[in-house]
Amino acid sequence: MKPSFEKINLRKKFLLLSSIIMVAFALVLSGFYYGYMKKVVVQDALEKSNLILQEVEAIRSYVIEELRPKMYQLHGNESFVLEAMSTTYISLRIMQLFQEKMDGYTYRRVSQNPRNPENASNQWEDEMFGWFEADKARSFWQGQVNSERGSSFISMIPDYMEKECLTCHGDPKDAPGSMISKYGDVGGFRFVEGDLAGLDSVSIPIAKPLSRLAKLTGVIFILTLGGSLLLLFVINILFDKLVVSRLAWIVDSLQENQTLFSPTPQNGQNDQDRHVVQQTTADELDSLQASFRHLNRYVRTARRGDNLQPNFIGPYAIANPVTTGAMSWLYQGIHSETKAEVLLKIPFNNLYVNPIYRACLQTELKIMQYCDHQNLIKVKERINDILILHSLQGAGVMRSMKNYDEAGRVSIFIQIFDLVAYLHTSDIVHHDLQPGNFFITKELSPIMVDLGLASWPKLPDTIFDSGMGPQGDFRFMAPEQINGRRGDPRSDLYSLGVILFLAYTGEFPHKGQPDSIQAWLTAKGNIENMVALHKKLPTELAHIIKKALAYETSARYQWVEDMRDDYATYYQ
Amino acid sequence: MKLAVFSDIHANIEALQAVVDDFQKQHIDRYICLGDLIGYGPNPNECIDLVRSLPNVVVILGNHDAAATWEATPYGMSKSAQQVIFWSMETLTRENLSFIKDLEPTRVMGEMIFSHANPYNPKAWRYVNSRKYAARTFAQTGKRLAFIGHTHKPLVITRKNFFQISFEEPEPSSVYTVTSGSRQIFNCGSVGQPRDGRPLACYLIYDTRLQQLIYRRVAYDHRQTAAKIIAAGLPAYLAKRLATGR
Repeated sequence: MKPSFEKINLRKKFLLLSSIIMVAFALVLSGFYYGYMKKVVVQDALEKSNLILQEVEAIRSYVIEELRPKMYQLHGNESFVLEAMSTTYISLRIMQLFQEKMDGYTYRRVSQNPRNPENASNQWEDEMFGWFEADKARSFWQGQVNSERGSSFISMIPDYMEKECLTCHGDPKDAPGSMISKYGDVGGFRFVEGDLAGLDSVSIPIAKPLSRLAKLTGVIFILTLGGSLLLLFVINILFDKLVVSRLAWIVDSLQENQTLFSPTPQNGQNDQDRHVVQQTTADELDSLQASFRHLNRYVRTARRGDNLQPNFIGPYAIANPVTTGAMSWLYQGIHSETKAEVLLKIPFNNLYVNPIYRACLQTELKIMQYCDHQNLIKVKERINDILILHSLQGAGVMRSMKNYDEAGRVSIFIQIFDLVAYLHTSDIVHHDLQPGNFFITKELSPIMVDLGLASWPKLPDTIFDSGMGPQGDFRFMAPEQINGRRGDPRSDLYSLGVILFLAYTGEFPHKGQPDSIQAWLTAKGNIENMVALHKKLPTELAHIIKKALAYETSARYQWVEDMRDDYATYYQ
Repeated sequence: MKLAVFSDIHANIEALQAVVDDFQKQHIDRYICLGDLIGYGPNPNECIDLVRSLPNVVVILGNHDAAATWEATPYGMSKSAQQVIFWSMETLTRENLSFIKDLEPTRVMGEMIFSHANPYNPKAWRYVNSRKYAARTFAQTGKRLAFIGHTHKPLVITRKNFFQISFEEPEPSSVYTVTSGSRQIFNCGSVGQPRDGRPLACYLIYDTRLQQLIYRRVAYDHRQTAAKIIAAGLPAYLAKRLATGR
C-alpha cells in the first residue's frame, strides 16, 4: 500500500512540498519572461514595419509631386519614362534593393487590376481590399500573419486613385503612347477618381526572434529550477540540522518517557495500547502532539495517584503523586534509609527542556529557598533541580472550603492573608494564587506549595521578558495580569478576592466560559455588580470582595493587610 | 496598613529593644529599617538578629553597613566611625556579614520609596536636609512619598508647589496627615544615636489607610549602652554623645 501524505516524515514532506513550489516558481517565472519578451518583439516589429511603410509613402509622394511633373516638363506630356515617373515601379524597385540588404523584409504594392501582373493581389490581400472598401475611413492596418514562410508582422495602408493619376490609369486613350506600347491597354486602366487602386504593405518576419525567445526561456527555466533546487538542498541541510534533528531528539525523549509514564495495563488493556501513539502518528510534529496528549493523560492519572512507576531521586524513593503546580509535580517521597517522609518537587520533565520554563523554575526554587514563613512549604535540601521539601503530614490540597466551619474558614484565610503580606513585603508577587496551590493541614494551616509564576525583582522576570503573555489560570487572574502586566502586588489581591468568593458561594464571580483574552477582560469588567448582588454573600463580605475584585487597580485594596483587617473586623 | 519606619540603630541594642517593645503596642503590619544597623555602638550582632526577627521586615543598606562589607570605603568616615567599623568587621558573625552584604539600597512600595540617604543616588550617601538635595529628590524620584534616615534628625520636607519647599522638625508624637497629591520626604530620625538634642530613640509610623504619620520617641537606658561602648574599647566620645542626643 502506498504511504499517504500524512504518514510521510517531516523532512520528506518538507522536501516534496518545497520541490513542487520551486518547480511552480520556475514555471511561473519563465512563463512571465516569455510573455513579456514576446510583447517586446511584437511591438518592435510593428514599429519597424510602420517606419518602412511611411518611408515608401514619402518616396511615392516625391515621385508624384516633384519628379513626374519635372519629367513631363522636360519630355512633354506624351512621353512616360517608367523608371522615373511610375510610383509603383520606383517604390518597388527601391524596396527590392532594400530587401537585398535586409533579408526577410518585404514591401508589396498590389492591385486587383495591376498593370504589371506580378503586382496582382493574392487571396489574403483580396480580403484586405474588401476590409478597406467596407469602410473608407479605414486608413491603416497592422497585425501578425502566419503564412507558409512563417510568422510575420505586417503594416498596410490603402492607396486611393487621385485625379492626376487618371491620365495613366483612366481611359487608355488618354494614356501616354509609350506606356500603351510597353504594357498594352488592358491592365491598370479604367479607374475613376476615389477607387481603391492598391494596397501598400511592409512585412517583417518574427518567427526567428520568437524561436530564439523560446530557447532563451527554456534556458531561464532550467537555470531557475537548478538554482532553486540547489537552494532547497542547502535549506534542507539547515532545516535538518536546526529543526528536524532536535525535534527528533525531543520526540525520542518523549517516547522514552511514554514507557515510563504509561499506566500499567488495566483489565481489558494490553501493551499494544501503550504504543498506539507510535503506530498511528506520522511526522515528528504529529508525534509530539500525540506525546503531549499522552502526557496530559498521564498527569490526570498522576493526580488520581494511580500507577506510578517506582523511581529514586538521590536517597529518596518516589511514592504517590500529590498535586501538580504551574510547572512541576509534587510527589510523596521516603528516605530509603531513615524512612523519613518528604515531598519531592520535580519539574515537568518535558517542559524542562524549554529554557523559559527552566528559568521560571529556577526563580521558583530560589524564592522557596529564600523565604521563611510558617505557611510556605519548607525546603529541606536540593538535589540538582529537585527540591526536597518537608512532609505535610495528613495535609490535603485545598479544593473546597465547604468542609470547614466558619471559624476554620476565617482562620485559613487570615493565615493566607498573612502569607501574602510576607511575600509582598519581600517584594515577591505570586501571580497564581488559587486553592490548588495550597495544602491544608490537620491544624487548619494553609501551606503554599507552588510559586512557579512568581516574580521577584532580584531575579529577571522570564515570563515578562520573553513576552509569553499571561500565564496561569485566567479564572483567578486580575485584568491587568491578563493584559500582560506583572509585578503589581494588587494583582494578588484580586486573586484573593476570587478565592474568597469561591469559598463562600461555591461559584466563580465571572459569568460564562470566556475563550479569548478580550472575552475574559469583558467578563472581569462585569464582576463587581455580580458580587454585590449575590444572595449567598453577606453585605459586608460582599463589600470586601467587591473592593478586591475592582477592575482598576487604583480602586482595589492597595495592601493585603487592609483587606485582612476588613475581613477580620467583619468576623469579629 | 501600618508601617513602622526606623533607621540608624548603630548597634545600640538597648534603644532598639525599647523601640521593638513600643512596636508591640502599635499593631504594626510591616517594618522598614532604613539601614545603619551597625557602627558607633557595641552590639552589632544582637541588633541585626533582633531586626531580622521582626515579621514582615524590609532592611535597607546604610553607609556603615556598606563600609563593614567594603561595599563602601570606611576611610571617608570620621576617625571614630572608622575605628568602630573595623571593630565591627571583626565582631560580626559570618551570617550577619552575609546578611548585610545582600541588603538592597532602595525599596519601592506602591507610591513610597525607602532609602537610607538620598533615594535618587542612594550610594552617594548625601544628607537630604537642604533645599538643594530635597529638590533633587523630588525631581528625580517618581514616588510621592520618600522615607529616609542618615542625618539622625527627624525632619519633614514638603514640596508646597514647584518653587516652595518647606522644612519642619517634628516634635515627639507629632501627627501629619499625608494629603493625596502632595509630595513629601520624611526623615525618621535615629533609633540608636539621635542628634536632635533628645536622648530618645526615634521612629515613625505611617498608616496608609488613614494617611496619617506619627513620630514616636522612646526612652531607653543610654547609660547602659555608654558603659558597653567604653567596655568594648570604642571611642569614649561615642558614649558621651548618647546622653545629650547630639
